[in-house]
Amino acid sequence: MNNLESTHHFLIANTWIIWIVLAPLVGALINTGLFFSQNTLTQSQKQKISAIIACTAAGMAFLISFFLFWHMHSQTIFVQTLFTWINSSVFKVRFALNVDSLSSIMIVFITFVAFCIHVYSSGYMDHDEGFIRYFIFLNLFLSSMALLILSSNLLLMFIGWEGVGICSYLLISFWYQDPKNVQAGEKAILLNRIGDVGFLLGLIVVFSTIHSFNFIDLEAHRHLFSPGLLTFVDLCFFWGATAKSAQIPLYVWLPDAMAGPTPVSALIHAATMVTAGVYLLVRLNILYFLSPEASCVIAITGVLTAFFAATVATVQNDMKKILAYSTISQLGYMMLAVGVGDYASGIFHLISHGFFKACLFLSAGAVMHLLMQEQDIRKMGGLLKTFPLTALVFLVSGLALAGFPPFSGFFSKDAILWGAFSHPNPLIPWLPTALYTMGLITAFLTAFYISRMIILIFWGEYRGNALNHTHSLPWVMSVPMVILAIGSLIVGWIGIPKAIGGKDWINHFLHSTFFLIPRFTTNQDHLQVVLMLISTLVSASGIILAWIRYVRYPKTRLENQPQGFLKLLDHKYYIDEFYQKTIGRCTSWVAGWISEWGIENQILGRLVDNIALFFEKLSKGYQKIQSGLVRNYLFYMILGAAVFFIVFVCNH
Amino acid sequence: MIWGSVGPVQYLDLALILFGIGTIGVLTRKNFFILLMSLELMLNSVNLSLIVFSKFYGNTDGNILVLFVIAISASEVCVGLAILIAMVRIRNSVDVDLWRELKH
Repeated sequence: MNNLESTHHFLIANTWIIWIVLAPLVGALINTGLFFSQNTLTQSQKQKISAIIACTAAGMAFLISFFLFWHMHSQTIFVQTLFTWINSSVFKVRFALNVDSLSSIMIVFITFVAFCIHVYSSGYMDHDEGFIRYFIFLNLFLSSMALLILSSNLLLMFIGWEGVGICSYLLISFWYQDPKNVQAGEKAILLNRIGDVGFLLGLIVVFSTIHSFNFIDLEAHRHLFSPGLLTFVDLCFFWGATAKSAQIPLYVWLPDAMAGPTPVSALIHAATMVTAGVYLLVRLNILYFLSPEASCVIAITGVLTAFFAATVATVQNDMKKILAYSTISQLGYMMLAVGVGDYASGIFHLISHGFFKACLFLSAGAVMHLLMQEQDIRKMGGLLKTFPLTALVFLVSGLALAGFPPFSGFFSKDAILWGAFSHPNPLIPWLPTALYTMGLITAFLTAFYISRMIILIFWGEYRGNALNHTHSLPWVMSVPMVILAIGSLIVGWIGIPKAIGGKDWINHFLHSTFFLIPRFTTNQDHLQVVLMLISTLVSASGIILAWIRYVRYPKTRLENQPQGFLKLLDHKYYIDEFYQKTIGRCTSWVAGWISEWGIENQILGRLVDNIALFFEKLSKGYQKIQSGLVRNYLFYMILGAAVFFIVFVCNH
Repeated sequence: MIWGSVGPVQYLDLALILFGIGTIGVLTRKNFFILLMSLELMLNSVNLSLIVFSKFYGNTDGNILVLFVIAISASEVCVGLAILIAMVRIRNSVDVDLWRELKH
């Protein structure tokens, strides 16, 4: 052990950290070998082996993370420097990993959920042709995500950032035989590239200001940023986060990303990858804390995203689309927490949301698995009796999403709402109230749409025609679902606020990461309790309203085309069409113009043609010299000798 | 220098003239025999100059070198004549312009 004391932390060297990244990577490599191997194993044997390898890899990553998390004390940072990655005179980047309280809790959560979903996938993807390919991608994703979380500097984080992006692309387009899935993947990667521009800009500005990418250096040299520059950097990184974490205006890829297999939606597009943007902002907390302007922008964007996505989710009929919009909405909550400066609550909601949303997706996947891939909730109903276990799991995670006590979503969402309400805003005095109100309305909508979904799936009469072929759920699918359902019940208890007699453990635990930010305290415990009661009432009224409206909803009315405002919601505010008509059309027009009249044909085309023509003519001239007659060559030789001789003689 | 007297310069002039004749012969003639003869002429002109310098400087290095040149040129003619025979067999001609394979 070699203890190096930094200003506020104890850095303890640890050689295990890299194995969290390497274990899934090795798993992916072994499975790649299996994928290409030509041997006598049958397809089902190969599938079994690859599933065991992938799950073991994820499980090992979880065990190591848990070990590190267990040995985490406040103000401890486990560090591992592997090598100097880039070494030039001014540009020095180390391949180093750090585990502090923030990244330890993140990595434990991510590897745990990932392990559950790996196990679930081995049942869900059974009989799929791309089984081994799927597990390669999934392991690769986990490896990149671990790198993103554990990296000690921004540049290394960017590798993980891009790695999860490419794995997301590969898994969205997993069933590439359908061009729609491929387009969805392309949309996701294209919008993420737009965000990457922001991330890169931020990287450049950070490096040119403090000449380092390290998070620890960033905290130490924060005073080198002028206020304007700080706001710029913050907005650049937020720009990157809007793409990854699906915020306005770059959220449109996430609903389409549901084209991938459902466990992928659960892991990548609900629990882990999409929260990377939130994680990035929380990692850079001090930069955001020092720039109220940027924080304001983030809070407003977050709450607007939460609200708009929730309104869209209330009228969708595709099970996965509802959950996708719900994810966008919940990510908006996390952004709101970051924007008001309540970073611990953001992480708290990130984790509890990861549990219950992964659980919701897995149970939705179970319903799809049992109903021959049916996703339309209009063609379901009355499934409570047929799939009681799935219904129970769905209900638990749904109540957690609805923010009903004592499920996890209640505590985490309330922590954010309380944070939004209580943190005073230095720029706009009325903003906290506005943010709180919007957040509360969103909470109502959330309770409404998730109840609508559950009621339409599990109550009433069955409206579809796929029930004849049902089979039972394999244990590899049901066990992870139950574990995650238990998680969605109890994970919230790590952050029971002090106002109602809890310990608020997560705030305390994360404080060593946010040590530069003054601890926020209020004496308004009574007010906090009142607000908690209000949000419980709001959540309950959302559930009751959905119950009244949908429990005896006639089948014919479900099939009616929505009218008026509901039609606007049904078409997701026509945002996709708007982007297509404006940005899409402009881009293709500019591209067409460039290719026909602009640079492509007139400048580059001509330039390239003329260069080619010049060399063609030159070579035709040279061809004549090459007669193939020895005596000609001899003549040139003598000529050359003569020239050489004359020059030589003249010079002396 | 007196007209009619023969010194090293005259010998070297002769060598230069022989070398020129040989060079022009190699460059211009098509017949392989004449080519070989021109080549010999060039070698002999070099031999001549070597002997002149040897005599002029009063050491025997030049003379020894000439013996080497004669030996090597003899073997070179052997190879050349062998090529000539192959040429006649393939093309039934001694015209070197028919050989343009170096182009390819």
